[in-house]
Amino acid sequence: MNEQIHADKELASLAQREYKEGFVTDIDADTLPPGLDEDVIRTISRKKEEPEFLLEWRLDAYRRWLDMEEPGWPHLHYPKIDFQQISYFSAPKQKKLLDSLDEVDPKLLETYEKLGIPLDEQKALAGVKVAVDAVFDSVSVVTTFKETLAEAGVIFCPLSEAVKEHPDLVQKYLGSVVPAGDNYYAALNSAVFSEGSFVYVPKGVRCPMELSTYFRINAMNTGQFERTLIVADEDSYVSYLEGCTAPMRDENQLHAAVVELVAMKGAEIKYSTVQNWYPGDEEGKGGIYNFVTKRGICKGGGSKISWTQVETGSAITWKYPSVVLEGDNSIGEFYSVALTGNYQQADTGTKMVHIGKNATSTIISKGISAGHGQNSYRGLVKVLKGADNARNYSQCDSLLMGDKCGAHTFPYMEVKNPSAVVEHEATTSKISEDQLFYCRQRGLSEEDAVSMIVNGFCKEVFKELPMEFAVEAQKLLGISLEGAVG
Amino acid sequence: MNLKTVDTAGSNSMHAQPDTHPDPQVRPYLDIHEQGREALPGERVEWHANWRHGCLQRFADQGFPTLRDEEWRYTSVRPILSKRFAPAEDSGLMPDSSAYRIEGIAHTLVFVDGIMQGPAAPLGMDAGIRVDSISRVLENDPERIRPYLGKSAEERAHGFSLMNNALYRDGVLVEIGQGVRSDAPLELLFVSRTDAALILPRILIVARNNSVARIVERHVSETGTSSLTSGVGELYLEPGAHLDYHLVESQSDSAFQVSGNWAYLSRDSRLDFHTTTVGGALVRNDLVIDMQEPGAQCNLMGAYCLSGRQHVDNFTTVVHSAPHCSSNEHYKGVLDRRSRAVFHGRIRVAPDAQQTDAQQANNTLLLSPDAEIDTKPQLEIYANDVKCSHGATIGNLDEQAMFYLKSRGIDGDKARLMLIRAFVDEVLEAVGPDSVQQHVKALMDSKLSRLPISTKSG
Repeated sequence: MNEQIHADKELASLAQREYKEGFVTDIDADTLPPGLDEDVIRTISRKKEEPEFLLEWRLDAYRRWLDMEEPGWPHLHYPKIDFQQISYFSAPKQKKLLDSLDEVDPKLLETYEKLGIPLDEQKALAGVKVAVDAVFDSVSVVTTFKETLAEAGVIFCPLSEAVKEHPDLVQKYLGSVVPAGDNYYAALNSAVFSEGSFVYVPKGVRCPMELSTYFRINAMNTGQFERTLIVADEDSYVSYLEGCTAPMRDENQLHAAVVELVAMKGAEIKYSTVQNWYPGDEEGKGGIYNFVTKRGICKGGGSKISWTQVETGSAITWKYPSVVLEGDNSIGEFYSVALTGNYQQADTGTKMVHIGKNATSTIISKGISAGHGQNSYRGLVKVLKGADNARNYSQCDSLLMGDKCGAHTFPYMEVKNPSAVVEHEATTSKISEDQLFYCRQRGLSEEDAVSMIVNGFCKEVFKELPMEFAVEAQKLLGISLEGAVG
Repeated sequence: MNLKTVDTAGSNSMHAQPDTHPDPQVRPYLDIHEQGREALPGERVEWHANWRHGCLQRFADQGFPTLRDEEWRYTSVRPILSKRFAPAEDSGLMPDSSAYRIEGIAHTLVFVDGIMQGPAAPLGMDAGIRVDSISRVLENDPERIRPYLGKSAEERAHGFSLMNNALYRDGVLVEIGQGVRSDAPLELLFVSRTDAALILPRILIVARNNSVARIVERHVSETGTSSLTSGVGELYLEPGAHLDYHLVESQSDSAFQVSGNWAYLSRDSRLDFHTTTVGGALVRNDLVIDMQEPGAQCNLMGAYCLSGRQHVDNFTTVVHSAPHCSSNEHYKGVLDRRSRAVFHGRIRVAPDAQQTDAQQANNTLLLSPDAEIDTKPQLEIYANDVKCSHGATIGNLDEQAMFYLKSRGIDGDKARLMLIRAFVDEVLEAVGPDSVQQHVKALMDSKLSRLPISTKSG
């Protein structure tokens, strides 16, 4: 019992964990005044020197967006967003093309230093080569490792560059997975997206290194609307890492991204996210609204898409990385750890749509709620009529820490094929006193015991992360739970 | 028990305008109210009249649910709305009771097209159980049911239950006296006879302290009638009461049924609620259990077996409002042909409901390429010291089990039947009184024997 009291006390300090990435970088930025209309979109498009088709596409998305309503169904509570108060473009003032890292504003490099991203090639994590495309506010600052990638034939560049250099590829695939009018935030993103990454892996190529993007929202009152498009051609493989941070601010900032993945026959895409946007302070003030649409399509037979996410940040998270299993024998996977502390809210999960035959999908979702956090899993498994021998296994576990938090699960299963086997399991509980007692009895401190139990709880997901990310995720969770439980 | 008196919501002056109501699907029902107002019970009892008119107004405002309502996203009520239903006249003919009799059930109250036949209290009923007609109670002693009647309307009610509130003509009140323990089930048998009849069953059950009772609510059709049954049941379990309730739906395959049951559980009470569905073209069962005081317990069991184009939607909500309550829910279904089943299981654990134990499972066998299941379990948990879980599985018969049986000389069809039967038996075995258990098993057997059981593989 004593342990329990201690644990509760320590839990209280979890609710007060600090945000270590909460610094602001003082850089001159070229920012559009707040507001949104067709002129703003034209301006963004002009600033980015985009071809005509893209401008038309943006305007079409904008017009659709005007007719749409903000979704009210998520299990989330937040004041109405005034979309006219947001600035839709912010770029660090430094327009000339960069040849090497030396030319980058040292302050910027410092920022990434603080974030712990080794932009610098020598610092590549633990000897693993990682190509980084860093997105600062809305503009991609620098992309490393371009040459190595180019040798392999892999295209990895900011989306704006891809628009200019590979317009046919962009035109073919942009919006092919998440159409402009897909949902409210995707439509907004399609209208105003300012940056993002583009990856194309040609036939039969195994991408020689992990690709990585770091997003950071710096300027005040800006929204970040990046758009990622990854196309893996036949029998290719790519692993992509995405990480996010933002400075501490009192107001809420909007982040509405779209990620599209296309896997052709036999291709595999592994997409990993560690999301650590500013979650707001201990009273729930400020923080990022993270409204993201992520979807991948397994277009060809035997293709595979795997989403892994560790969501520890953001005031509100609203995202459902999905896989459309169109090809026969395709595989979709979703591994997620979502942590909500303080007043954070998360409504996250996945959609697995079985269209092709013999497709398999796996969903492992781990939710941890502490403080006043509200954590929801929402997922859909849909087996269409022709999807013979579809197989799905879903497991959603929630861990509750503290008596003010909540954990919710809203799975949907729609099955129209009798040969399908669909299983879903969900459990919700707190760390059991038996487990704690067991560890304490063997001489572990309470803090170690809890962190061990929590790590064990998340292990199934962490083991899916690329090594260097797994280390970071564990550290993040560690920070989040620092002193949380004794 | 946390009972509020029902009043508020509307007044006599608020009359929905049937002639001018824009929704052509709602208008006929408002007309029914307008024409039959004189005959409605409780119009002279102020609180009741106010409540009824409040519900009428809400019904006129919100109409019937559509696919756009999250709670109805898998069930379209269009087949119901495309037909006209109206209350049937009392034919005065008792149905041939032997045709519906269940061996071992001595006390049966028969309703034909929703109208109670004979005296309210069935002969030979235990002394401690009072059975009355609601209209008579409203005439003689309305205060007796004031704390209970219509409470369900305070919640998020949909158009069908509001329609029942606004239009119901009579109902049955069963009051189980304090400490009364009765093993003999009381049966409420609803027979639909007239085609296109609008049947509005209304059931109110008050189980006093430490009472034990069993109730069977059964719906059958006389012929292949296509009627609409839209019922509301309200169950109150006082401290220590134990109620065993069986809802058995075996109407014709062209009948429509929307049934709503709301149960309020006090300290240490226990409710066992069994739903068995084999009949009906479109059936929707709303079941809301609110465990309001510590120590309450509920078991919800459901079994359904569908074929043809049947559509059954079980929409259950279990609310843990108080600490130390436990709930267990298990629904199993067998779907053949072009049938479709929807399961929605919601468990809500309120912020202070610590030490909650809530379990839920839904298993479905899909036997045909044209059948469909949509299952949607939900956990909403606001307390931390809880043990909650839910599971859902969807699949076909286990090939290995089939092989095992066939390798022992049992032919394919028989083996398949054995496995299906064993699958639903897990739920049916839990049905308490033997008489009822045998009845639901017989229903299931006869339904299974009529299944074509699409022979896909050996």
